[in-house]
Amino acid sequence: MTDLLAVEGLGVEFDGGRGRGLFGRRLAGVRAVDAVSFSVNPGELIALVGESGSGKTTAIQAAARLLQPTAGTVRFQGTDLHGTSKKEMRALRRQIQLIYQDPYESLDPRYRVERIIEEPLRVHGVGSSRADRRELVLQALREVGLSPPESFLDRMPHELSGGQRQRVSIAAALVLKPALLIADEPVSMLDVSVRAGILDLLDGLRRKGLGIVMVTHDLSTAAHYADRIAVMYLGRIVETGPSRAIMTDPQHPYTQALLAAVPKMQRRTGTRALLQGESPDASAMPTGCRFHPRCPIAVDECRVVDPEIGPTGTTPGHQAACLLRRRTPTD
Amino acid sequence: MTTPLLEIKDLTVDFRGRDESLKKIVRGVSLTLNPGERMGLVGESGCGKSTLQLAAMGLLPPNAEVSGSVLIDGVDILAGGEASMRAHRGTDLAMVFQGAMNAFNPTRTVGSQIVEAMVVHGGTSKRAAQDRTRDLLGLVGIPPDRAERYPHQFSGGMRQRVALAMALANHPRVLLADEPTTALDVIMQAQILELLEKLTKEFGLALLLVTHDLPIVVETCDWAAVMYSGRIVERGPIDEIHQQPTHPYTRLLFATVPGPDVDQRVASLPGVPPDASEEPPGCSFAPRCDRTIDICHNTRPQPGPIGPRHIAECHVAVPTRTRPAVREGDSDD
Repeated sequence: MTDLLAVEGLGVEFDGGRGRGLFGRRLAGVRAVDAVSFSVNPGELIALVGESGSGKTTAIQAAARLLQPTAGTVRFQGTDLHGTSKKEMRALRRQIQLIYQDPYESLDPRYRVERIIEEPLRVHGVGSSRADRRELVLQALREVGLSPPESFLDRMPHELSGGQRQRVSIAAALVLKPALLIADEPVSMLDVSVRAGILDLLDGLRRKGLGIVMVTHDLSTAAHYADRIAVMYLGRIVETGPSRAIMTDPQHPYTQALLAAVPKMQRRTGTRALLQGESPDASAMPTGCRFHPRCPIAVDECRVVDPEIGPTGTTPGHQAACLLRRRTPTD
Repeated sequence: MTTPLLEIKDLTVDFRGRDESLKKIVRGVSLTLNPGERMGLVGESGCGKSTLQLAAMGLLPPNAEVSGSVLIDGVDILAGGEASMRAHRGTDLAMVFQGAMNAFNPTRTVGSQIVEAMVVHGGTSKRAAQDRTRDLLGLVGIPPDRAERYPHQFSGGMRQRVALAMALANHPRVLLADEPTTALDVIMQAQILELLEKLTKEFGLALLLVTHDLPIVVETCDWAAVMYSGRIVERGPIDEIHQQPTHPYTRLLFATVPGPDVDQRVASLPGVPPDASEEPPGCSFAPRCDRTIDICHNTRPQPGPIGPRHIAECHVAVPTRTRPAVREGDSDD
């Protein structure tokens, strides 16, 4: 079966080679994304999790062809996205829609809700008449749970709450009936009390067959809603697998540290076991395993060998990029 | 009865609009905090928690009308106007904000800005201030030689540490922190929370932490105060608030937090918080509440005791007939 979206060995390098800084100094390339592979099937929700600067947003931008990758392939329904012409891409764009973190910035403040949701229809020439398009807009509003939909048509973005705005931006993405939705931190700007509503909405869309890639820095959100989680660190996926396996049996020390740092709903006794420092800049990539300078269990080998991601042998589909991960006899 | 370090009494904030209309933001909030105590102030956006902190710091714009009192060791710091406020700001009360980036002048080194914060308050030479700046940076986990660097040379987490060092410059006794870790990653967040805890334990700093993140409060704080539509609807020891939330709003708020069990459903709170200006005759939470009785719609609940230092404003949790006459703040003594 062909994956809805299959990303293979994706790499994105900024200022690679040709870039020149102030006074003509040659700039070192910054490898923001390195050898990232993941896939999404229809009806599946994949979460890319990581700290800021881990490359998760860059990865999805390259996956949606908003950025030109420097390595790897992105296949959407079997078609190589970066090998298609602009014209072909335009048709594919309808199938791949994005929503962003900040519904305060992603909606045009001068347009009414109807115009915001209708815009993609006009751009793609969908609907033969205004009445036609209005019907599609109303349908999209219903789908995102804004009811009665008619009452939202004439509203301006500033008249809506944060949760309603995010629903409008999801409606504007859904109105083209895409097969894949890419959501970049869809709830992190929203109040805790409305987050679950938006995530439930995405979950419902997933159940109807939409494939979703969600970028988040919140592991607990990912755990509750994603089928699979990929944990990124400094541009690489360091661990991936079914959500439950990642949450209950993390194999990479970075994932373990992330989980330990998530505030728990209980009083803590004693101090937090913490990773010290912060993730280094991608322009000063450590040798060997990129996590070794902060890793609590690193051995000498970790300083020289860059570990490849491979099966952990614990759960099918569970992979980690760590020399010290459990090794199976077949590994 | 001992005098608490910080006592906020019946604090009310209204904003006067250009058309002379009054927007009510904070409605008669009272709370107390003792040295070394950590209190989490939680609630949805717009409930007034940040405004409450800014009012206590005397940092609200001129169109804000503040009444009530903010007492430090029993002395009302709001009473003397801006002149008196200046004497208390930084030394008694200090504040850190969510966007630590905006707290600094981008064109000057962070060290010089911390030194300035001390010299402006007087009583210290530049030399002594420079020494203390290095100590402060060390305290918050930043190598002291980075005092010579500019704000943009720090990452978000590091900048928040520098902001904390600056807030601590004049030995404040109460730290007001407004979502200090919201913009940070979990690992940075844990580091900052650890640091805040250390400061309260080692220096007896009292912390009033505004956050929308309940697990942070459960993990870090001794007390929780839940704000809704300008009022504190429940406050008490964190263990009681967490394990036996009394107010339906508190209960629903806790239900919105994803738990450790990945199969458990996460609740969302229906509806949106009302505008505090509207002040319905009954309980402001009644329209969203799942437990209302008749009285909820026509009579505003008064604060009633749940336990020692545990108060809720709810007709259902504290039935009126069993409700002894409690003046706000009394049960805190």
